[in-house]
Amino acid sequence: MDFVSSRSLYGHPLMRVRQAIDDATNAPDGIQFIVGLLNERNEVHRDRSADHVNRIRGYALATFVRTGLPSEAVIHVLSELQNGHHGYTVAAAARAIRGSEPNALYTPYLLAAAKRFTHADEQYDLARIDAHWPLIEHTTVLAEIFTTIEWMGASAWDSLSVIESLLSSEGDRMREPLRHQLREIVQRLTVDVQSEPIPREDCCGVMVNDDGALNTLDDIRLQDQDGGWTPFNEYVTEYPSLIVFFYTRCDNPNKCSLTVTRLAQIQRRLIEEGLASRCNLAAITYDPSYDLPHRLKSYGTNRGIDFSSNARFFRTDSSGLQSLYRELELGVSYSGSAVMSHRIEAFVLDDRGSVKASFNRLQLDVEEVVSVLRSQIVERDHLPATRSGRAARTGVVMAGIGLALFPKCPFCFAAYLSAFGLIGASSIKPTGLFVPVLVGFMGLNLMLIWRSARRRNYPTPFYVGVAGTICLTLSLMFNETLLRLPAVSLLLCASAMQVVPSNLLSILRSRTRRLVRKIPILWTELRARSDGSMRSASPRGSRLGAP
Amino acid sequence: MPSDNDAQYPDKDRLRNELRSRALSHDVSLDAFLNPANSLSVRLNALRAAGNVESLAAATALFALAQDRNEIPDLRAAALQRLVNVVASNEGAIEAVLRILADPNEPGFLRDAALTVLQTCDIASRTFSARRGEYTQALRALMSDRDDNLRRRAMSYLALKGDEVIQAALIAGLETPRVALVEPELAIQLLSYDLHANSFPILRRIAESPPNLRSKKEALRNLAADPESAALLERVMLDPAEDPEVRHVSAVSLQALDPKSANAIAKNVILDSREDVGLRTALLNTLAHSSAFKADEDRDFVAQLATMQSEGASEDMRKVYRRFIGTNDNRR
Repeated sequence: MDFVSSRSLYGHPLMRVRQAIDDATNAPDGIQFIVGLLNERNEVHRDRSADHVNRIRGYALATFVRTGLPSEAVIHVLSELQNGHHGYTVAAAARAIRGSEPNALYTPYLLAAAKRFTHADEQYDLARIDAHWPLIEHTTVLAEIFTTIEWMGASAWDSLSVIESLLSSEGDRMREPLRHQLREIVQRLTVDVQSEPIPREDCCGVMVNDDGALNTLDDIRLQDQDGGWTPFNEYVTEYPSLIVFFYTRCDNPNKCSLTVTRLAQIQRRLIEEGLASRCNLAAITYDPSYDLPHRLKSYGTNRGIDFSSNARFFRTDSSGLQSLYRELELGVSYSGSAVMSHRIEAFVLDDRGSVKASFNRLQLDVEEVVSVLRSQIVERDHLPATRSGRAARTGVVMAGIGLALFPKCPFCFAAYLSAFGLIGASSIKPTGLFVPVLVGFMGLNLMLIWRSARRRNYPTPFYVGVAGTICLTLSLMFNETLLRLPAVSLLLCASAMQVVPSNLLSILRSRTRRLVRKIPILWTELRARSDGSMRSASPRGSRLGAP
Repeated sequence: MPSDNDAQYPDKDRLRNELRSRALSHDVSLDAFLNPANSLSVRLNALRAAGNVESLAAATALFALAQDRNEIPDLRAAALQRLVNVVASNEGAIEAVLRILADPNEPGFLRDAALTVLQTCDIASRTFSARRGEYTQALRALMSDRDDNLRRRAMSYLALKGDEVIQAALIAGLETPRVALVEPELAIQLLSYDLHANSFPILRRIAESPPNLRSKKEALRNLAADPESAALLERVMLDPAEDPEVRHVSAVSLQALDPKSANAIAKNVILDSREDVGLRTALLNTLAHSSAFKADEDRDFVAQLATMQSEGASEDMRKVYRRFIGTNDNRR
């Protein structure tokens, strides 16, 4: 049968896809074709169930034990071992490793998969692409994993303690042949004591890109967890951004749920380092039709996200999602609008919206992501990288300003006293052009506050500014001096509030919210205590107030 | 000299005596169960009175009875069910129970008892993990079993696990009724356990051209998870020729996908006196529990509803109306 492209396999039965893979193993570009099938974006996966997508990917992976494991497929193998929850694909990934050379890199991933599957070690026939019954030949996830660890020989040595721990903690869940196999592995590794560390070729670090700005995305509008709308370009510019993708109906706890939990951890780290106000965090759903704002909000809240003007969850419309899919080459497959399969993916953008780094397939490493974000923030702000450096710089600047403003002669003192009205300055009477100029400046002030409030999604300074403006206007109209002090205070407050850093704002807001939530509890406790103390002061069984 | 233990447990002696007498009673009951001279009912009652089986000797005796084909099947089933804790911790015992389940020559209720024991182990036993693969294969074998009860139980357990084989079989049955394992409405229910089974296309077809009314209702119910079906659900909800229950099911499903649209349609139907009273009542109840509906923001509707009530409404409608007002008062 002729070798066929994946495009022509769309909608074909699994057996046809299997034939194509088998044919490809002997074709000149066949390996590239098979590697291509591992990508969720591949046309062959469209409109298939999650099981069929996993079957195709798993069959492709298992092929590599015969053809050799190409380097581009290693990340897929590791991703399945680390995060996969379909046993067929994970078993195939474990088998695929035996198509390469032993490498200490693989062992931790194999053991992570083993731990996940000790309670769910189902039977699969990797020689078949379809799920059928009865099985003639079969293997299991654990069988493939342990066989591969055995095959790795001395390369697995530095994971000996983890293997021993697996045997002792989970051995009772395994069949005796598997326990025996694991004991043999431990024994062999114990005997072959290594004096030097095993070399570990790494494969899959952060991908650093320089992909240019996402400037075809100006039509995308994002709706956040509170129902507010923001243009995509507006959110991801001005500051560096971290964008992750997820959806609330993901049934793999090692993917979306963990990604969002890691995002919350990243957020906390950024707050601790004082960098949270200098970057944007975003989680965008693959499933916008279902993930309505209230679902986005509860999903994020339940995983520790502290929502703020620069930490938001988004959904977009179908054309927006298509644009993101195209520009970011999102690794997701759909059947209609339902998500069937996807990879873990996160992107760091600079302050112009250009993708600077991407994290694909493997679980997000908090340190790694924060480090990349930090470097973007530093680059953007020309800030010292460390907090102590920033503190030192701020101190230097403040010292300079203080020195400049320090009164150095009697004339300086007079000038300060005059400015604070202590030597005869009287209230200014509005005459001539004063009023129109004042109104113009008030309008300009309000406009600037409004723009800032919109951008930060925090309208309170604007409301305060409006109140101050109204007070000042009334005081001028009715010449009411009593209103001038509140008016000026409100306007100063509005200006001050809009320059408070977002992270400080979000901290203040969340603390205020927590405090407000605690008040009824504290009140109830207080009442309970006072009731209790009054009851203990009364004879047992008596009713308070009873005659 | 009195010890601290005595102070803590002043009734120690009484408790000790009670435990001894219970152990004795347990042994006596077990002996009565194992005694072939006793009648069936005496033996079954004795086993019930014996409580949990803990000793190795008792477990061995009961297990031997459960596997003895010459024994009365009722006794075998009773013994098996009493041994669930023992089976859960013993691979060999699990294997033996799997054999009973797989044997089509064993009586149906004995195999049913075996399935109950295995399903309990699946949830609660660490040791069972070693045999989980075989259990799945045994369940798949039951999909074509002649015992209807076993077949249905096995299919529901497989569906709950998101098993690929059962999903493929159920979808095939919906597409080609002559190969169906169960009636379509049950097949749809079983498929609904797994969002990723890709069953929405077939559910939409069934909702448009159902083999029967029940399957239409099930299809519409499960399309609550399919945003692409919002238009279909709206259409059904608005169609006065549709069965009122079907329309209500559509309304509830549409609530999950597009609460605003669902509420807007519901309000029109509720106020339309030409519509079915049962449907109007059910929709009012649904509206009362919809988080997207706020009475404060829709005083017109509330006023019209009040007028409708005062001009005469059914007793059911009045009850739901009172609940509706109460729910919205609480929300303020």
